[in-house]
Amino acid sequence: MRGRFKSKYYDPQKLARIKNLQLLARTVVEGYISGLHRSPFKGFSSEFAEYREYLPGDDLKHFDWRVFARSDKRYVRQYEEETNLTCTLLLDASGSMAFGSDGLSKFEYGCYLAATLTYLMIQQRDQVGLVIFGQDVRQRIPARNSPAHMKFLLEQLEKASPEGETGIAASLHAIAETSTRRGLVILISDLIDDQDGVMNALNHFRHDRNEVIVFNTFDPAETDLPYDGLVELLDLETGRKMQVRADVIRRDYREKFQQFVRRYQSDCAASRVDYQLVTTDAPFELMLAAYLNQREKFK
Amino acid sequence: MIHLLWASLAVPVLIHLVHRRKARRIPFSTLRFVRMVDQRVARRQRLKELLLLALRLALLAALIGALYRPMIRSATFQGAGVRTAAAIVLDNTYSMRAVREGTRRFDRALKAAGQILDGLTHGDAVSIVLLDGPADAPAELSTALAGLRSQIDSVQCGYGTAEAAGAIRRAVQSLAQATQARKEIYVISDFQRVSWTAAVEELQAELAEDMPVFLVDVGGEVGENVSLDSAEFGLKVQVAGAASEVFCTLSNTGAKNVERELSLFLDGEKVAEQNVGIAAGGMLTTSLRPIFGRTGETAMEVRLAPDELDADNARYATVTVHDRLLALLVNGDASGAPYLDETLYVDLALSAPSVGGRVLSPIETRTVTPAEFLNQRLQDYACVLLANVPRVSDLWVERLRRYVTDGGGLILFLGDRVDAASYNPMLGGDLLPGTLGDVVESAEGVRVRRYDGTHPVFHALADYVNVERTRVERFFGVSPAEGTGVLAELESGPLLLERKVGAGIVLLWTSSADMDWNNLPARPFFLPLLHQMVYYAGRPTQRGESVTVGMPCALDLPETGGALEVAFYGPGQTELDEPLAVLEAAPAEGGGRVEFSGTGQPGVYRALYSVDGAEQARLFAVNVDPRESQLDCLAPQEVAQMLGARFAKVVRDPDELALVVRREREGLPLWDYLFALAIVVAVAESFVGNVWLRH
Repeated sequence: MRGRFKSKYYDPQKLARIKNLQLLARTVVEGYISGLHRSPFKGFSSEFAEYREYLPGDDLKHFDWRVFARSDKRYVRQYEEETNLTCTLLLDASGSMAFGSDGLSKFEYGCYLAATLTYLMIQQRDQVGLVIFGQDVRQRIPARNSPAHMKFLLEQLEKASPEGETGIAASLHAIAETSTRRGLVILISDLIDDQDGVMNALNHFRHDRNEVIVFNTFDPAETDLPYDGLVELLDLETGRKMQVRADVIRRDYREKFQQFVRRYQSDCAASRVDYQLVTTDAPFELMLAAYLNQREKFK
Repeated sequence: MIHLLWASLAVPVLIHLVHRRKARRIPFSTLRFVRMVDQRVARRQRLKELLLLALRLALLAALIGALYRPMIRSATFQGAGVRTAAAIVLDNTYSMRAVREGTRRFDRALKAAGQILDGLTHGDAVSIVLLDGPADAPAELSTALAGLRSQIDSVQCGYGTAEAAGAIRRAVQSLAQATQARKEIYVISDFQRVSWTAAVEELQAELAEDMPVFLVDVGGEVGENVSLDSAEFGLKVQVAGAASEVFCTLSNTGAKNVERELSLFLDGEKVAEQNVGIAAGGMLTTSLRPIFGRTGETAMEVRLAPDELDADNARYATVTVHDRLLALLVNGDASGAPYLDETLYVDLALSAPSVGGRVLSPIETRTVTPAEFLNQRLQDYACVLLANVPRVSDLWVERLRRYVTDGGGLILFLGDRVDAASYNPMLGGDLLPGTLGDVVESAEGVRVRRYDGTHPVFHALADYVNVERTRVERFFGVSPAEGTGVLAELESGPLLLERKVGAGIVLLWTSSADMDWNNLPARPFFLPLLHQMVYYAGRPTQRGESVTVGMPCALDLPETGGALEVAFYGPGQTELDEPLAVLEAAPAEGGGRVEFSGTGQPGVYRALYSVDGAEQARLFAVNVDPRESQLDCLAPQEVAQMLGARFAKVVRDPDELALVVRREREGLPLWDYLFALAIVVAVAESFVGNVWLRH
């Protein structure tokens, strides 16, 4: 994530206080949508669907001047839009995702992100599926588009918890093997695994003509190693311990971390995979924008 | 209490250990990147921490150790405040006059001696022994330190040379009387090799084994020093108006090649000079050619331009310049016909009257027959020449031997009347330069093959001698005796030989003095050659006295019929000054004799006395011993070995003498170093802890 910023309204830390994922997702999505000049919230096809109260940012060409002239009320016309996008959210629930330095773990952040995207996709008439994986695939929910489906997805997200070792490459290959419909694949993971294996798995999706977005999620403490003095680090996946002088190795650690990220960035660019480096203090807007951008391309 | 301080050393260790245990445990997503970090960084950090711990321990240890006020005691330590008797051997030979970096060695030696006195306290005793001091004057210990200081301040560096053994012995003897518990010997010297002979090793038995000996080296390399080792006349007799030649031997004992001006003064007036270049370590002989303008006794000084050791830059001599010399010719083959007379050519050459009959030569000849020889008083002659004398008797030999040994010159010309069987046994023992053999004959004549151009007889004649047309038809074959020099050589045997006998010289001309056996009397160089031979071998009417600095000079004086008082004036003094000494001459054979011992300074001295109311003056020269100019020195360690001193302490920098002595007497205090170490460690700890460790 190149330019980290704090959003006044969508600070993940504040959103985390909203325990209801659906509410959280709606808050994020609608807040985000209403903030755009051009609202992509609804498709604007030729088939009229309903009126909606005008919100700042809506395209004025859909503004209904007649209604405004008659009733002095501001509405925009909404049209039904057909969708053929199938989106599969892949959420990493390995032990390393349980790490969170400031109360919000990477996994929780990933759940919020998945929920937010799910809400947006359902609103967009896209079909949404969810796969939760760790060392292997733990849960697989096929893609649907219905409020009930969304509710089910969100419930599953709330139930899931991170644990165990990582098996990203193997899990992704397994998912790709069993996917029958081309669509959009969104991977939320720290990708801490063998990089060649992960890239092979992502290329597997690309080979099946899927669009792939990767949200490579990290805690800020993972990127910076902000500790001072002697610390004993406990590996959340393996349970191993290691004592280090954090301030001494910080520079080398950052260097290694950056190498890791740069490798994914360059490999994903080469494989035409949309790569987003995400830290858990970043607002969800960027991720939503990335999704919408991909969706446009997909059409 | 101090033990508790030692316990404080545990504090940094505990801090270190506690700090290590206090690692915060942090659950972390993965150790993947931590493991990828170069583990050497962590290891290096651990080493840095250990170093920091070591520095902190060292800091505390140094501070606590300093509180103990530790000392390193010397092997000769006898307790604090012990009374000390010190014998200071001060080298005052003239090599100590050498200047280095603007300071004389001797001045550094005096400063070192002053430091020794500064280190002594009431009740300590000191004796001061000069290296060239009189051997029979025992050194006395004194506790009057203030008086000793004045004594040291008044000591002058001499011009003499001396062996160190005598001075060390006197120093040891002075300490033998000391009542003080601690006895020390200080030798302040340049340790010039010439002074430290094997005689020093004989002192090992006298030197107490446990006596500390401080060897203070005030020498050091001398950059530029050319010494004038000798300045001697090539010819024994000097005459007014004739060119003379002074042969000078120079040595460069310094470390650099130099060029120096060499000047010759007669009675204080410069009459000759030249520049000489001499390589480092080299030796050179050159000559100056003064012409004496007046007769009588003359003071001569040859002087080199100043360098770092001036004392060896001058040589002095006194010379009697003659206007007339008397030579005795003994004609062994006299003839009524002048051209057949054996001594005709020799007489003509030596007397050399001009066309107008005016006598130009300073040599006056007197010719006698062999029968008249014994009637002659040889002391009246500067030189005796025998020409074709058939044989010599015992009486002849006895007289000639005494004459030559006493400094007279004898020149032998051979010829057809000479009986080798008479010469060989009579003169062959110690007068004749060789054994006469058979007469060698050559109808065509042999030429002079070689002559020694460097010899004073030939040196000044190099431009005149042309041997191409010389012919010698007959000459005696001679087997040169040991110690005989061949000055000129024919193609088949020697022509002119030289033998030194006592103070005199014998020259042997193996051919005839006339033209019976050779044509040399007709050659142009015959006249000057004969003159040179007479000047070389002849005896001056008065011998120039010369002694070495510190040696007594004995003067033989004429008979006056009463007590004779002689006043002695040193170099640079006039009759208006106070004489150095006024001595009464003791009766001696032929007159009186006086011996003057105050020859402490090089130069020309004058002895004034009165004979029948007439003021008379005698000059004599005093010169330094050139051996002292050899500035190569022994390492003080070698001197310590020679002395067999177990506890010798070498002090190379005299300025550090006081410190070295204090350490030897009291020990080396370590707390200063420990405090200094603590400061250094504290700075290092600060750097390691705050900069290096965090980097």
